[in-house]
Amino acid sequence: MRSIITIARNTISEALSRVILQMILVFAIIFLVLGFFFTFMTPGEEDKMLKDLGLTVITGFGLLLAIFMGVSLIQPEMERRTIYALLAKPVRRLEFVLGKYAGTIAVLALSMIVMGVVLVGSLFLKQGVWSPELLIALVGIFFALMIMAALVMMISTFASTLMSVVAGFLFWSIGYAQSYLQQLSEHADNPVSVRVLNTISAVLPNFTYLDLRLAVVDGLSIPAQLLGKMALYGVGYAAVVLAIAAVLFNEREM
Amino acid sequence: MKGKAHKRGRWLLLPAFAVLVLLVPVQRSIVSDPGYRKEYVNPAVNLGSVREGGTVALMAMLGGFRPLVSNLLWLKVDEFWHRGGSGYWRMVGVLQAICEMDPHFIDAWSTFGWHCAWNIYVDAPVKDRPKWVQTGIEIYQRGIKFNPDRYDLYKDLAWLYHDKLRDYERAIPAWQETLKHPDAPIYVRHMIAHCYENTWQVDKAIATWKECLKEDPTDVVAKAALDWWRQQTADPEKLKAEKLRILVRENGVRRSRQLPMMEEPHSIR
Repeated sequence: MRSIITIARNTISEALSRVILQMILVFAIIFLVLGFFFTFMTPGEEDKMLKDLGLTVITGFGLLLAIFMGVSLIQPEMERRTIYALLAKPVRRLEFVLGKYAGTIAVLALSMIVMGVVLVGSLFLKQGVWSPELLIALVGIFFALMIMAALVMMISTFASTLMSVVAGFLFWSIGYAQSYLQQLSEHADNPVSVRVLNTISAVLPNFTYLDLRLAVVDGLSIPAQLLGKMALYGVGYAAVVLAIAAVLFNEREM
Repeated sequence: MKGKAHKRGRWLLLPAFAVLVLLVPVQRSIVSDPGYRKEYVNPAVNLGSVREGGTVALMAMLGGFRPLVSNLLWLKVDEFWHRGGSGYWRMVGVLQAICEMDPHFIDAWSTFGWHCAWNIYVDAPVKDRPKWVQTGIEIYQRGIKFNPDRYDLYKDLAWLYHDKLRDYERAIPAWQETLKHPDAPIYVRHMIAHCYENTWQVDKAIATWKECLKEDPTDVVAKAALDWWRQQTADPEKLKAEKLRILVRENGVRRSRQLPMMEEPHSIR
């Protein structure tokens, strides 16, 4: 446990000092603040649009953070050969993976909080109304990004950085296209096809389960038990991917 | 030694598989949760209409950025509206895509129904016009199914029956449905009273105006209407003249819109 915490701390300080991640965060904040100057629609439409765009910016930049942090956890350590020094110490590979992931999640959570506060704050400055409900949508986005970071980390244990980035974006897209897969399954006549499609659908991540953005902006209530189920799905799925990542990393000859 | 170490790590796959299996009921439970909005992941969104928002919209759609897409398309609606001409027709597909993507976006349903029943109605060939009014009605009804707790679309539907079709028999229950929502504007009850006036149900109209005043004693419109009806009902000649005035006004509007004529106001009851 001690070594996991040490690796996590190290990952956090490394991530926070990395220029690309700082740039992503700064750009996200600039985009969020730009909404302040958005004034050409009627008040109701403007409110919806600002909230929608704000959450989109957070999702987009959060995704970039998750992917770029996910790929920079293992591969660069191997390229720089710093991993050998680390693994020579009494640190198990599983602990290494868990520590790296925990650090990434902490940085992601911190970024989400910063971006969330900027969004809610800029909306307050513009409209004079607090919109804390937007933070509920951020919870869903965070769980999706947790899964994404784990997926990219898993891919980067055996693939190049570029391939990991591309695969990350593909997984993200697939995770949102699950409704099409489910529609195919509902319309399939062959029971074998139905079973295959359902299995694929269950195995691949489904980010629509974690997407509360439109519901929150449209002012719909989000029951606490749904948030609990989402947390279970997000954490559970990330744990599965992380376990596979640990096995793949363990299998790797170094 | 190394090989053994590698194999030792594989035990993790077993609990991982178990968790993956356990996630299946969790997924089902999310989908069946009353708070989960399946309508937001509707796969039936027409990608052709999404393309109207540009390549960015299409890419964003594939990337799971539906809120961004619906906003880009909403801006496109504004652009098409100001462009006019063929832009009016292109608005139809775009508005449909927005409603499919974000079915709790009331303004989109409201604009979509209004656009079909009023604007496209005027632009369409005369023989097709009733079809577009019917489309407007169906759009409002679909929107209401998604948003039964909001008064807005009930109000829009009632206004369509009231103003566009001059069908007060259908407008009255629609206005009454609107009134069931506590946040419905005060003028909704006024509209019910007007429906009764236009169908020459004077007693019901007066009773409704009295309800308005009871609801809000400062309602100057209801006060003026009650004063007016007091004067009219006191003098049979004035009452007759008022009946004729309504008949002439109604038939004037109906003629211009090719709606069935009103023979005698009381016969519509």
